[in-house]
Amino acid sequence: MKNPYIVEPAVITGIRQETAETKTYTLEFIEQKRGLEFIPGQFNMISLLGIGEGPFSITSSPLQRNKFEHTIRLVGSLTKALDRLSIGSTVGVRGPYGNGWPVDSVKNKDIVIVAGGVGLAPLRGLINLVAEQRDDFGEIEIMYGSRKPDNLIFTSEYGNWRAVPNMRLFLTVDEVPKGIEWPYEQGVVTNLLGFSRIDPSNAFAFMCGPEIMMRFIARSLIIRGFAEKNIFASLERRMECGMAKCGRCMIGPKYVCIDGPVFSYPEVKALPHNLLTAIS
Amino acid sequence: MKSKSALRLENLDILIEAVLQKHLTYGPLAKDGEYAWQKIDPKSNPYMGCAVTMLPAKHILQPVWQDIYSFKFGNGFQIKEPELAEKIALFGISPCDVNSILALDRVFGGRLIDPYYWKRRENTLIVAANCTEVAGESFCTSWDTGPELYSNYDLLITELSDGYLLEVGSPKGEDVVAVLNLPKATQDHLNEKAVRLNAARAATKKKLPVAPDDLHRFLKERFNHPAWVPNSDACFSCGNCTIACPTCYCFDIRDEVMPSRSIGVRRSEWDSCQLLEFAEVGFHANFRRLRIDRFKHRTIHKLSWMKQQYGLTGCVGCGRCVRWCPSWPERRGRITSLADPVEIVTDLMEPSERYEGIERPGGVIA
Repeated sequence: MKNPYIVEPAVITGIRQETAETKTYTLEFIEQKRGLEFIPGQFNMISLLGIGEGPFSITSSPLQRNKFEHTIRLVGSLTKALDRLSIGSTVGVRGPYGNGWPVDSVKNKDIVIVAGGVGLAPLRGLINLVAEQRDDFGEIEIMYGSRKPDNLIFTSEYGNWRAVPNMRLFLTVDEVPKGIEWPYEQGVVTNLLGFSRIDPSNAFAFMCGPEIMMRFIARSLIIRGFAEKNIFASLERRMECGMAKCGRCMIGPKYVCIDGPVFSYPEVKALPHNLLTAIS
Repeated sequence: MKSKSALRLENLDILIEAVLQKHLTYGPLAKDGEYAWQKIDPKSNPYMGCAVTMLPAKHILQPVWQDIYSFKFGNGFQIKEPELAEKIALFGISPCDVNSILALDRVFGGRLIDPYYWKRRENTLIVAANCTEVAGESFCTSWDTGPELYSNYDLLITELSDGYLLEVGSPKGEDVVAVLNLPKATQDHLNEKAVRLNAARAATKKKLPVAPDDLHRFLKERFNHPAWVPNSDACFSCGNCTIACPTCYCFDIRDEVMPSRSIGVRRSEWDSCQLLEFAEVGFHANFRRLRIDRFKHRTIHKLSWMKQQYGLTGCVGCGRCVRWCPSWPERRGRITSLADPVEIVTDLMEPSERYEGIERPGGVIA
């Protein structure tokens, strides 16, 4: 019986500073026999033995298997310890877990991607997959918002994304500090949907960000004509095992770790607590 | 195997001795005026009635603390898994508790199997004991998880007026009793079993007022019923109900490093969805900060969601949550425990209007 709790050692081979508190780590398994096969939107459990373990979405493209990336906001006890590591350090990895974005059902379809803050992380693998297999997908629009310009992640890749045919990137921030040049939009991310040129009737929408943001995005998308079944959200919950044993990540009868983290809007609507539906 | 053979057992001692030969054996033994699962020896006197032990036997299959693995630093890290080879016997486990183990089997089984639970489970001999009486807080008859066990045992004991009926339910059970050369039970013995268990059933007065198949709809419709408010306001969020529950399985994973800082262990430890920190993430964001959300989560998970997830209900009617809940407010003219699923369902049957104008005793306290 293979023990699913065992982590495999992986070496940090790259660290890129995204924002003051967010970094992207490149990892490679020491045992190179097995690369990481995954679907964008899935996550790994990453361990610093002696400190703890947590779920982090895989942010690299699934076409690149021998190494993979995690973009992590360094704010908790585990992630602050991760922040002290450098290239060459070893971490423990097990995964991938979760369902990921429904990549197969969106082949040849137009996709609107809406993200807030570090919520762009679980969508980056999908964006880069589309860029690498451009002919397999329809038009792509990325609507990305954050608090301030220096909270935006993956800024070094925006040029590449904009250069991809029929891929459009729209940016907005809540607040522009004095003296900072900001040629893009200002305001909530919902406003960006007004720039969309995608015909919503047969398009898909993928979103990740704070639940309050996703509530408003979902409502705007539905008003614009997106089918509820074509709207997907990646949800966050506390997880410790990643395989529906520890019980922590439950929302009603669903385990975010195995039934999610990506849920369709009708699935979320069926959950208690009116997660993405209550707008008064 | 066809031979669900029924044997006649004069006294328990010879069976205990036979089980002890090859198994680390636990049984419900008297302790401080209650019963508790403890290791037994040939002199022990495990209770064969409705032994609603203080804690269920789940800690034997899923210990309160267990080492998932130990690790050693140096050139990265090395991991060592613990060895779990011991054969275990649960001697005198009640039908409700066997049913709770069937639910845990589905939690720790599934697509990704928890190897620690399963190694213990596969090495476990179930010597169950039917309940010829049912404790006051129990409502096993509502789920048909007691007082009689129909299957999923290796051996099954039923206390008769003179001696015991011993039924064999598996080759594992057959192996244990083969050496004892016990006489076959007669039809009279089987008849007495039926009479005794029917009497126990009839004597069980406590009943869930909603049919099990209807609970999912019932609770869904009443998710925002006002009765949740006074119930959860009086809850201490102590977690006793979940610790005492035989199907509660949630745990925490934490690491400990020895002072040398070169070795450590990763452990799992029982946890409770009733505790404030249970669903907390970085930045102190908490997905179930409100006590009412935690209270509802436990109740509905037990009575409905676990059935949706695993096909088996998360309540077996043992009544332990009722007994160990420290909050026994006087409600509805009766003294009753707050954790009691029967009482919660009864409250939810009331029309919403009945709760209008009821003062919330504690306000909204996390």
